[in-house]
Amino acid sequence: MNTVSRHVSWFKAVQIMHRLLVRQLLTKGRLVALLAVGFAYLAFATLVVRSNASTSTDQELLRVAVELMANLGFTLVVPIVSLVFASAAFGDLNEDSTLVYIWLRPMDRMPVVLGAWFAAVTVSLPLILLPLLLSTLFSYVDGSLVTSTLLAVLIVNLAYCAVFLFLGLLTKNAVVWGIGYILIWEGFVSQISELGGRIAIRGYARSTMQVITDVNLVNGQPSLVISILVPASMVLVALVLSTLRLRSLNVD
Amino acid sequence: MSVVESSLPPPAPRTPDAASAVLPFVQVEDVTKTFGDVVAVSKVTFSVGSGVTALLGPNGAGKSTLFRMLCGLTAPSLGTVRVLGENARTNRDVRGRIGLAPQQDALLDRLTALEFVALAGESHGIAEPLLRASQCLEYVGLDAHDSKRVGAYSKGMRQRVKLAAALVNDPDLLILDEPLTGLDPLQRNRMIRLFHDLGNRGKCLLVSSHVLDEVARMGSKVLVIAQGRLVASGDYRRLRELMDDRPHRVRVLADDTRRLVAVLVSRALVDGVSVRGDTALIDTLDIDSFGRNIAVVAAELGVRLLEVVPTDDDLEAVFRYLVERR
Repeated sequence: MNTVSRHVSWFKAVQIMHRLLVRQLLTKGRLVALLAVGFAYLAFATLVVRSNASTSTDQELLRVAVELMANLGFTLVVPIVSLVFASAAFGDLNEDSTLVYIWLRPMDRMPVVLGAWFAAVTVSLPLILLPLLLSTLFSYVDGSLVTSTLLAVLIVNLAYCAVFLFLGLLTKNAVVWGIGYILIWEGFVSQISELGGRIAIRGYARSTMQVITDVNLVNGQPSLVISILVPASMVLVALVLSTLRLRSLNVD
Repeated sequence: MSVVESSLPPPAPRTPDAASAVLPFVQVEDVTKTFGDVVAVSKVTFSVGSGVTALLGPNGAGKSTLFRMLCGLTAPSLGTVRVLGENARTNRDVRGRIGLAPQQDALLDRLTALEFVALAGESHGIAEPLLRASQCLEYVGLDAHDSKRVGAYSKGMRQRVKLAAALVNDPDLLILDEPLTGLDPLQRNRMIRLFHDLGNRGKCLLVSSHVLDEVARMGSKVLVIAQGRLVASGDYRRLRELMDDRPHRVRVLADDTRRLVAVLVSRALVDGVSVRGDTALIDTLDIDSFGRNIAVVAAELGVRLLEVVPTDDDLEAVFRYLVERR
């Protein structure tokens, strides 16, 4: 009998998962579909802002652009793109029975989850930022719009990816459940319930934009620190839950 | 390169762990696995040492579920599974000493064979995964420099890629779930020689199959599983005897079946018979004698034989017999 053991470091495990999943996640179909969503937003936002350009002051234009970003960009583009990639990170592997090639390795579960999360962020962030930042540039409005968009996208993309990564480990219909979550919880419950609004990720994108642009979007505006710390806590909780789920998963 | 010409890749260096040196490879004690109301594996107990052991059973018998439990991919509902003295589901180091070629055809199809096997090596903590992957691919008779993605590979090539990936960490325990499925006869011969080679080097190989002839060539140790239960274990030759001792069933169709059957019964050539229309289902313990005499009897009676077909020369029938005897 071979009496030996090997160890895969955390850093190495993160690196392996990240490299593998970036390659697996980027399919032509996903790229085309999600770029289409992003550029549809870009076209619509540009059209709306430009149509108001001749009759509005700069401050009014900024308000229109920020509201478009908060109500459409952060309701549709950011969560949908994050959902597709993050839920597929483990979901695809589980679905096609290739998760066994990762699960049965002498790697701790937490770095495997971290690597998958990084991979989802790596592929989704550029696809979100490209149309959203282009829309701010085409609006010719205050530079604070660009800064707030950058920061808000980063905060909520990290949070959405962690939550949807966990969802991909929970169910094989993660996209359907994710869309339900986006529409019902983030889109509806968060609007009518104060507590729901505090738990909804999208709310922190709105508050971040409000702090930086001074455009009033939410009542009882949380500080920038809170707008960063709460989503960061959501990331931590989602990643820990994903680790526990991966550990107890029945793998085909 | 033929596997018999190539040599086993040298093991990648690891840290000694003397405590596990004296433990058996696999211990399964009173293990049951249920999925809802379905009992996939029921009260199975066995242990396995080095060499090749074949797990034999029809499709759906519980072989893959048993293998998944050994690897820790799913936990038993009852009982204990120990691999190298530990639970692979919770012990990371033990997982590093298992090589699994799963039954399902799934591979990471966007990778080349070299990338796939190197990824396996890297995730096992091997220092030079590309070099090791090349050696393992050559060992199973594949070109390590093939630029095609594994998604474009034939079934047989995919099986060998899975085997190379399972070998990359120089595992103590190799679990191969239906590894010969989809291979042509030449490839099957190569694989079986390769299994013997690995077994002779002190590895423990558990190889599942539902084909008796394959198992006969893999090794003398067998575990027979049917309907989730271990129905026989031990030397393959003993199983062979059980097969030869069992009653055989033959379907006979003739232009005067009833008269033919009456004479066969009177001459004690059959042990049981049922006739429906012109078709008789005949049970006999001495299939050779029956085969030699039925044409003679038919000729004596002037009866024209239309069909004489054994109906239970498949593995399912052997399992049924083994199960029913218990």
